[in-house]
Amino acid sequence: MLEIRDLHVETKDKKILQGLNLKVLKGEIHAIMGPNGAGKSTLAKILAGDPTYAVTEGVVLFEGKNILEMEIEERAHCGIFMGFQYPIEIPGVTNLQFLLTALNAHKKAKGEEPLSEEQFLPLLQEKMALLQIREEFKERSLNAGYSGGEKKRNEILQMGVLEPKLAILDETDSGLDIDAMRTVASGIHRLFSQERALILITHYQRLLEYLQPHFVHILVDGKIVASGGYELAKELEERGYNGRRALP
Amino acid sequence: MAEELFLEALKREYEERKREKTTPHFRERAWERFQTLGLPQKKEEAFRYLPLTQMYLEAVDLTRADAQKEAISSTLKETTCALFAGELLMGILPKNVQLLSLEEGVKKFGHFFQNRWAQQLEKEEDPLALLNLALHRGGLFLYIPPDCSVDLPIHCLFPLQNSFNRVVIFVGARASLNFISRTLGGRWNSTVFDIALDTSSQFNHLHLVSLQEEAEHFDSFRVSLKQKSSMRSFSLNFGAKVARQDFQVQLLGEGAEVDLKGLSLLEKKRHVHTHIVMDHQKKRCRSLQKFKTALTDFAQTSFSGKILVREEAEKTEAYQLSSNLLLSDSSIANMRPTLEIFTDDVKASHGATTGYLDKEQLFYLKSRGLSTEGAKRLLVSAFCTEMLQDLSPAFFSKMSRALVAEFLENLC
Repeated sequence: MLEIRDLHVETKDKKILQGLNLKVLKGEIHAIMGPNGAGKSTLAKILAGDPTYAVTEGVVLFEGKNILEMEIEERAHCGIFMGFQYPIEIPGVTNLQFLLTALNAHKKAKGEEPLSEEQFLPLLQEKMALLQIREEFKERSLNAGYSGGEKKRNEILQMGVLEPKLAILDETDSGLDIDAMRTVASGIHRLFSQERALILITHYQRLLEYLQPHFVHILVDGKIVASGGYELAKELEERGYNGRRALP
Repeated sequence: MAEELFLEALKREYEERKREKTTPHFRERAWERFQTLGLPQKKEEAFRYLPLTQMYLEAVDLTRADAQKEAISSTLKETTCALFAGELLMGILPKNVQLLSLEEGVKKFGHFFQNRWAQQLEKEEDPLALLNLALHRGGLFLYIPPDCSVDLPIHCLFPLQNSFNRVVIFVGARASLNFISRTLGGRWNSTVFDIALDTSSQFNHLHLVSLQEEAEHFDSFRVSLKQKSSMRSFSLNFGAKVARQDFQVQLLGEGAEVDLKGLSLLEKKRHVHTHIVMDHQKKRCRSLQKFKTALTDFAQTSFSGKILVREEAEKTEAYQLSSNLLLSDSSIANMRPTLEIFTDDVKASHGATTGYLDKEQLFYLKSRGLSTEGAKRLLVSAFCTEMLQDLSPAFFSKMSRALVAEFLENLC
């Protein structure tokens, strides 16, 4: 589904990713772990198309197409979704208005008829129930004044509504208390299927415990320095990242 | 040269109007005062950002009517009245309310007009408002008797016309009125809304301005509020070659309250220029000015708002906020907030912001599949939301939202 080959990324003369390779197939859950500043969030943003980063080398193929040549919204229409580490607040746009506009933008790209608010509401209701999001959130401004946990839950709600093929969740678990973590993890789990793929970027093992990734990669200084199964995450929890620095 | 031609056109109009017998005395005095003041000049703060030379270059042609009276009459089934080239066309009128042509109003309520106009003649410093008093071709007078509550709105249309119009409204003690004024066109227009609010009265005003691109339009609002009266006003303006809105609000009685809000959405080469003087004269009054403008293409706006708190006006609360959203590099916004406070124990503040669309917000929306245009539209709608919610009565919100949605549909 996703293939990243020798990806080099920089911003303002600072090299962030330095030759990253990754292959993700349908039905797989990958976790990317690594110390602060390793380039984890940059990887997520590059996949989503953030224009503040420059790709200097490499290709990123999604279902065989080079997404680096695509606009941000085209990537979303192809089925790529990034869950933001810090979701953006937009006062004055309600969640309902935003979710319906986003879903209809996807439908338009596929040449399908847009949904009316009445048609959309039952779908939204179902996804909100899945994530235990209160009714009133439909009418609240998008992320404005939400707690950290509410914002993250809202990211997963968006994922639930847009049903992407590949979701990259950037520290979705940070800022969540134990109960919220369980709800969000179970939401992600239920939204996942063998037709989809997930990349989880995280510092902690807890989310991984719930979601049991097939692969764990350790990103250090812009490169994947180790890959393995779920046991690698457990090993990290015990030993930390020391000794896993990239060779110069 | 341009100014001279412009003045000549005004003079011709004055000679014409002078023959009318209704209020010759005031016309003459207003004309004289206008001549002393002269046409608005760039060096005056109130007119600093207006494209005056362009304005004067195109002589006012007040003889032209751009629409057929019959076409307007057909719209009157849903509205209260229309003012067409000085003539008052009546639609559906709620009970207990007196809606008269200005001529009839002056005859019937002579004393009120004598007082009001004498004061205005003495104090009016705005040449355009003075011109209106000298040259108004007609207008209407709306009288709401004391204790009368008019819930259904009085909806007045100002269709295509080229003239000076005068709208005089008196809301009696403890009475309340919901008033909608809708300007739909015209090449050159000046309308003065002269509003007198008696003790403990309430006045809710929705002012909608949708004009042709080449129109020149000047609205002046002269409002006086007695003790414990309140005004809530919202103007939605889509601009024109020149569209000016000039508010002079006098809080004359203790405990009076004013909410003055405006939203302008401007594209192409459209302008909106807002000028406000909020004059606190008595104790314990409260005022809020809140104006927002979103501009694209080559549009321009200016906001010049003054809070004046006089010596007697202790315990005043006065706030002013203006903000602009620039959607293009060629759009221009100027702001000039002023506070003049002559007493202690006052809460007053002003704030002004101008900015572009937030790049992070754009990225966020696009990452969810919205096109650049779709994301922009949603963010402009977010910018407007705050102004459109909680308008009172609720149907003011509904009407405004529909017009804003129409504008956003065609944006980008």
